[in-house]
Amino acid sequence: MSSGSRFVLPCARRVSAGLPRLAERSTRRFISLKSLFAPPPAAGDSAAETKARVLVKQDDLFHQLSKSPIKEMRQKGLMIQDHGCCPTCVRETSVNAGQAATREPLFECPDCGYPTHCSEEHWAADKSRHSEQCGYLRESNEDEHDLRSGRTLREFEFPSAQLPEVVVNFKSWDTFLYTRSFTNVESARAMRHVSKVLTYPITIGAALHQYSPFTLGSGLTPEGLKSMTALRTTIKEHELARSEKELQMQQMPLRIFVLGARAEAMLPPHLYLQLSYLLPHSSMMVYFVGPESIPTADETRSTIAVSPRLALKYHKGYFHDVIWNFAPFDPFTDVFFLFSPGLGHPKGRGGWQPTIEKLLETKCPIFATGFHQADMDNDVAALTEDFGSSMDWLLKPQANPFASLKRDFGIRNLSEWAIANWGIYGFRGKRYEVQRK
Amino acid sequence: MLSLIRRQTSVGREVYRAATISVRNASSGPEINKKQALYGDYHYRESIERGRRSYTKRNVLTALALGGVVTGIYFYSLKAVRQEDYSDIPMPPEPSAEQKSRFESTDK
Repeated sequence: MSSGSRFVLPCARRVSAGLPRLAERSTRRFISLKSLFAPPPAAGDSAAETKARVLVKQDDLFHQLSKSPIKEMRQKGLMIQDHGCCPTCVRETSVNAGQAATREPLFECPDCGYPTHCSEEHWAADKSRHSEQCGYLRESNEDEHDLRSGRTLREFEFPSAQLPEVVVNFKSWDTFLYTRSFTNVESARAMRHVSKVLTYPITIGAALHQYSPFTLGSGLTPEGLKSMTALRTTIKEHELARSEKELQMQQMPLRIFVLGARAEAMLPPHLYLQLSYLLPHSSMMVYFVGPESIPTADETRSTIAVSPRLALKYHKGYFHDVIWNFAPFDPFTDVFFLFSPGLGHPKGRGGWQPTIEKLLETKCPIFATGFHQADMDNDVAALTEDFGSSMDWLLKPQANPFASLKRDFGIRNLSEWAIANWGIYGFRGKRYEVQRK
Repeated sequence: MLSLIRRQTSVGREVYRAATISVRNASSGPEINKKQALYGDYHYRESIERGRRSYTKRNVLTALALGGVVTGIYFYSLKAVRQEDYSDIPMPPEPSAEQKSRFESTDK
């Protein structure tokens, strides 16, 4: 009875020996015999429902912001017009009078839909410079309309755990999504949507996993190998003890500290389950510590237990103030991640220094990311200047294979862009076992 | 079957379901079916090709190397046994014409 009413594509069944049957597949629907005899819903109802839900069709995703059918996009256009500046005006006036005066960008570029310049003449004059960003702006325009179009976003239905024999490949997003069976990601746009949110948990997972893309040949230093081996030893111990309750009770969970957490702390907790599936036998706690880590100021701390193996904890405040909640630190179980901290930014540098000092004392590995090459170089230079003599490099600054594939544009200046976690580097406090005279 | 599924599944999945079934029915020839079976449920073909690109060169070189080893073993083995010339086996005498014709007639 059950096999007769189950509807599964025969080609999928043939290869299921190789690919895993995922436990929580929400993409498969089973037709029971009972439903075959149920009265069908009226054709008119479902069509009206579709029309009411979908604001923008898939083949009609590009709209000028001011003429967009979606209210949020129109509001964004107005915000850019209020806060933005016309780059041609800035260039002309600063050359002439030494002080930049600008008109509001009221003219929307016909190719990308964003209000970039104040008038058509200025836009035409600036075409060569704008064309660098125009393609990405248009892509961003279509992506934003797609997210708000009202369609069912199936690419965000993520897979669950998989068999340990099905090894995950961390070379790039393509290999990762395939080996993790992200079957709902079926287009470049879907991949961009997924990569923007998954970049945080997967960057953490890629650094910790034994098949990490960061190897001795590609930027990891011998000191880095030592630190990562310590962490991977703990992960291996968790795996070896997976079938014995007494051993499991004796083990320490992995502690992943995300400092200066802003966007990553506001992600839905089920995204960090993807990290838990990469290290399936390890219990872990992810601590989000930072002045902006909780959106509301009601509580100073809260905990979310996402699964028996994963807990998320939120602490509002600077890390160097709350450090005694977490001490002592163990380089075999603790790791720090700083996502786009802006260590070299003039406003952030002073605030980060006491935290970095404490982090270097813990001797635990610290990974930080930057949102493009210049930002990462800036941060690395500031770090070397402030702490160069008391730190070891674990991972040389390099491009992160699990960077977001979407570009984010600043509202004030559309020529400035950021890619979440574009580059990654790792460091640790220096540690001497032998003192030489 | 096609229309039945359209009614039963939810609105959001309607297009997906119809698409996969139509692809399955429209696929003609064993080659396209084989490609679908290769990647199972994962349908984003460009991504798969892009992911495989970085491994193509090394895979081809490995294939050539292994093929070369196998071919080498084959030809070396043949060369090594070619020195056999059957000189120690005595050659039987040439049969007479009468015996030859008799052999050929009984063979049919």
